[in-house]
Amino acid sequence: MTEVVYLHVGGPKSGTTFLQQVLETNSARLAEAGTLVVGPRLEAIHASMVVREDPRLDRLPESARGSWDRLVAQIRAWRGPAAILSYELFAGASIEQARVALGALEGLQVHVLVTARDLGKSIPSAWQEQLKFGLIRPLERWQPPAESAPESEWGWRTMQPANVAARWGVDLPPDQVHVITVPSHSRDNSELWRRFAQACGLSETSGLDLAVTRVNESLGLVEAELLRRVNKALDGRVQAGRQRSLWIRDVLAHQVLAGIGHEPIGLTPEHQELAREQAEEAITAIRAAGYRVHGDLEDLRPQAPPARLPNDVTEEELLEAAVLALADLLVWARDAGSDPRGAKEPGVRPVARPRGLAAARGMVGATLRRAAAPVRDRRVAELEARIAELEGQVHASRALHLRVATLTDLVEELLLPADLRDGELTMSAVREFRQRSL
Amino acid sequence: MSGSPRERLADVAGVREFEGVEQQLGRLEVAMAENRHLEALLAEQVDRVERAVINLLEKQHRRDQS
Repeated sequence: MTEVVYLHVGGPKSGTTFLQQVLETNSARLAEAGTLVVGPRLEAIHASMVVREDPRLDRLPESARGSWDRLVAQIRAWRGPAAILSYELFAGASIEQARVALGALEGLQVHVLVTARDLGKSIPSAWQEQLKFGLIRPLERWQPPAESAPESEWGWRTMQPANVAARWGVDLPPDQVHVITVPSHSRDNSELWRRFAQACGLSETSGLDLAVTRVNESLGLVEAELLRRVNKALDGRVQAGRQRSLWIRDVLAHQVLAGIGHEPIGLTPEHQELAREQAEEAITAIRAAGYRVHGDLEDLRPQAPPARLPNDVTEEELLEAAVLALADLLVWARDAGSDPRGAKEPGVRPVARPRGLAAARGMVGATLRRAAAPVRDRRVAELEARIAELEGQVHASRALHLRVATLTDLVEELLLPADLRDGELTMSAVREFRQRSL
Repeated sequence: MSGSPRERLADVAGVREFEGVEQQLGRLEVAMAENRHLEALLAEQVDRVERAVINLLEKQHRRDQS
């Protein structure tokens, strides 16, 4: 029976994708060791929306509203001692929303986990995440939304760890609130996992596979500026959130632009000052609150080396990136089966791909698409099997109704007094009945 | 964040568009399951009435022969 729940609430861009991949990849091993990895992930995403009372829930299937309750039921039904639920956008919940969510876990020992990294790096990260949803404001004139902006998923409300810990940990003893810092000087994620595992009581769990595929969804400086200009040119033609996430984020940003260049994005002096202030506030508040720290709070201070800003990007650089992006996008559209004339032309050969990073990214994209086809086919096959099962049931139901109809006809005939019976009709009913029932 | 590779795969595969269909199908399956339960009771009754009718027809047939 579950005794302890580790609720990893965020924040975004703090190694959460890596940690969730490790948890998902090793869920069987962790289950053997007594720890449930609560999921699936889509359910966790919906659950975070339920907890945050996100109005976008209205546009999701009705079942999404029950996602938090289902995850809680999953946690309570677990036969092992511990469960881990991880999703970064729980971080945006208000104190009241967090209280309601934690109220559902009453009777269990809840530990809240907050991951955080160099807050200087968080600013361009948050800016480019907003670009993926249509932002057109240049970085130089943009600031992360303040803590008080409840609907901002990419601002200090979710990225500043002391804020998140204070909201989620308001009713918890400080030793049940954990702040895990992303090592600032290491590109090796195993140290981040070590810190996270320590917070979750998994330090002794051996045999875990940490070699998960790293998905690089970050844009380089030139590509981020290019995306900003594309957003401007789109002029609102891709509006709905779902459309933006699919076409701007997943296709253009992740499939195409993320593979072209990786030059880091710099910070304005104002941003640097802002990041320093936020880090100072966070470190002071975390120490004062007495939360358990895994790693080094100094990791939160901005330490990124100087880098160019988007307005330093030249028109030539943009043109070069735009040409590569256009070529990749064209090939992507063809591979995705978007034949504008509605028919495939036989004998069309694949265009030779550019070399270097774009080629590598293209290969990843193609692999993803190849991997996606069986996923779609399997889902279609599952739906077809379920429909076939229903059709079989309808067929059986129809056969029963015919039996009832035949029987009713015959009984009606037999119930008539002998002198009122139509001999022909009675015999017909008897024949029909014998044919169906005997 | 854009979600796990599994989710991105779901997006690329376009399978999220199936969610509405799956919801409807799920509701239909529940309705059909209730139907099946009721029809199982109905089928038992039909069996009994059919056996009674067969007995009746056999008796009539014997009477007509004699």
